[in-house]
Amino acid sequence: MQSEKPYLLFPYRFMRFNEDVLLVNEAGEFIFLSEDDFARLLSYQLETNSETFLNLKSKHIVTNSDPTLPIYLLATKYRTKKSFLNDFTALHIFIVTLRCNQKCRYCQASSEDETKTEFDMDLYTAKKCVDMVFKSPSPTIKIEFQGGEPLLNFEIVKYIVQYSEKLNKIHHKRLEFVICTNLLAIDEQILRYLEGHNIWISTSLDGPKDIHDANRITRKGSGTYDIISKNIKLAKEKLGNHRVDALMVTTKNNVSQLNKVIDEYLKQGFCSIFIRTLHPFGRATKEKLGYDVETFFENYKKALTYIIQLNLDGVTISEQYATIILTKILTPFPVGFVDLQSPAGTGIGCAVYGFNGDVFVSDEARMLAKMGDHRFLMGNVRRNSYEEIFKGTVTQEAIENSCVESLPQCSECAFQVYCGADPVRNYYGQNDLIGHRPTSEFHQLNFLVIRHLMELIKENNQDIMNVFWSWITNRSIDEIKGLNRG
Amino acid sequence: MKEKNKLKEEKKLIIKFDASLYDKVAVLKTCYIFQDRCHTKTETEKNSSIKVILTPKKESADLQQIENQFWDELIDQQVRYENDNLFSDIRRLIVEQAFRPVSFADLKNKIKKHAI
Repeated sequence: MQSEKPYLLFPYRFMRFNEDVLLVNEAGEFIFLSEDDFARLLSYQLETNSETFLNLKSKHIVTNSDPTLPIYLLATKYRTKKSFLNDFTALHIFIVTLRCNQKCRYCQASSEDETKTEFDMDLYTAKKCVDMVFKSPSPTIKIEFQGGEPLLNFEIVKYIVQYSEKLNKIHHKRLEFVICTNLLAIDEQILRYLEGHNIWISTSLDGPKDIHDANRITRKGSGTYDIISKNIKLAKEKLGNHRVDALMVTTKNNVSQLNKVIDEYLKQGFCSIFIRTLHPFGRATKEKLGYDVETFFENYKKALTYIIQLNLDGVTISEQYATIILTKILTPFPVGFVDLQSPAGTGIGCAVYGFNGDVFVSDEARMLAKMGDHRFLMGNVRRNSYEEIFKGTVTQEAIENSCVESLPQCSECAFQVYCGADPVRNYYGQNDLIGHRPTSEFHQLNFLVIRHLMELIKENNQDIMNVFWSWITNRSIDEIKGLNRG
Repeated sequence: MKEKNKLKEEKKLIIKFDASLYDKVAVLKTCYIFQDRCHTKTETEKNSSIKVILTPKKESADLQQIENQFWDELIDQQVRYENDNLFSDIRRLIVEQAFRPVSFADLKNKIKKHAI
């Protein structure tokens, strides 16, 4: 019975953190305590007028007064952290074709030859998909075109854009479009269309020529660096720098050369980079392009240090994975990143529409289906209703099994609020939606990265914190310094 | 008594302890976490003690280090288990209030009802 004690303890999760103990409350607010203070806290021996007690009280981990207000405040903060649940599915990925003019060594999508038009989405399916998208209650709808190479079926892209714009005159949603393209087939006419309909470009750039061309090749086997560099420039000229983004994939070819990749991103005019791991699907496994978690993490740490130093030297560039996690740690707000949330964004944050109208909970789920396992197929827009697809057992199972609050080991982890689960990766890698945390690479990597960022936060180096806040708030370091001076 | 008996055999660590000191949940959660480095086996014995057998997955594993880590983790898991019992009502109230909010006064009454 806590009421007989000098203070009341509120829910928190803890972790030994070097010589200290990290305590995190239900809303993600954290504090470091010495081992001695932690022992005093647990044995109700903290002085209620001590600085430690007052700090803990400010984080709603203890109280010596009426508990209603802290519970009320914690509930409000908890609701804010989980506010990504309010709107349901916002991201809708359209696989408008499986055809591709490239044959990248790590392709997850197992693309088809350029001539095989039977793998294109047809008009009827496209219409059904858009009708389905607009049944989502989300006030924001982002349609992302993927493939294959979506420019190879650009007529359907145009139809989807125009039909969506037409429907949106009734629905009044915030409608966004992104086309994920390798840029090989881009031309001025297409760019004019993209500009006219406010369609953003997300392309792929793995690093400088030797690194990029090692994996990203045409079907005939030649490198694509020269042409895409030229087309990135062209696209930026037409659409503006901010409307062209790029993603990289870390393979064994570039994992130890991430600084070169970062330099290439700067050279091409990008001001952010997402150092992404290789997903173990499709050709990536056959080509043996992977690496172990420790190798990635050690190189990621070096790359992060390099990026931080660049910022301190006056160069603006952020790392997106770190930014997502830092936002989760340092702000009350959720992040719209479906791979790192609880429950996972499978179906409720993101849905993937295959060229034939099949709807999957995630892109990885589609890869799995391509490999012959349809475990995460929610339904088909031609045969099933919105309710059957989005409220069916596939979606429900994926959600139920991805709440970190109830997953083994996650349930008591101090990083729980900052982390997430991926039932599709668990199922693919460990044959179980819940997965086995002690041997999960997804878990190991997230844990290591979150811990590293938390160590940097604990060091509280003002320069590094300024860089982090500039990433989180998308402001310059000078602006952040100005805010700090108050 | 922290530890009743401990036997170190080749590539195997056997840890025995009084079952009244640690809840079964804490023991099993500790064993679960150790599955990244060891195969684990848990047995109860007649004299109300628990026996945990840890077999390292790597030949080069340092048994003493594993044992130290195991005891540290077991104590932390026991604290977490006790905390969870302590916090369960408050945690439920927080989540309830987050997703099905009531007025401040009604929340106060709910808290009183739970005798927090």
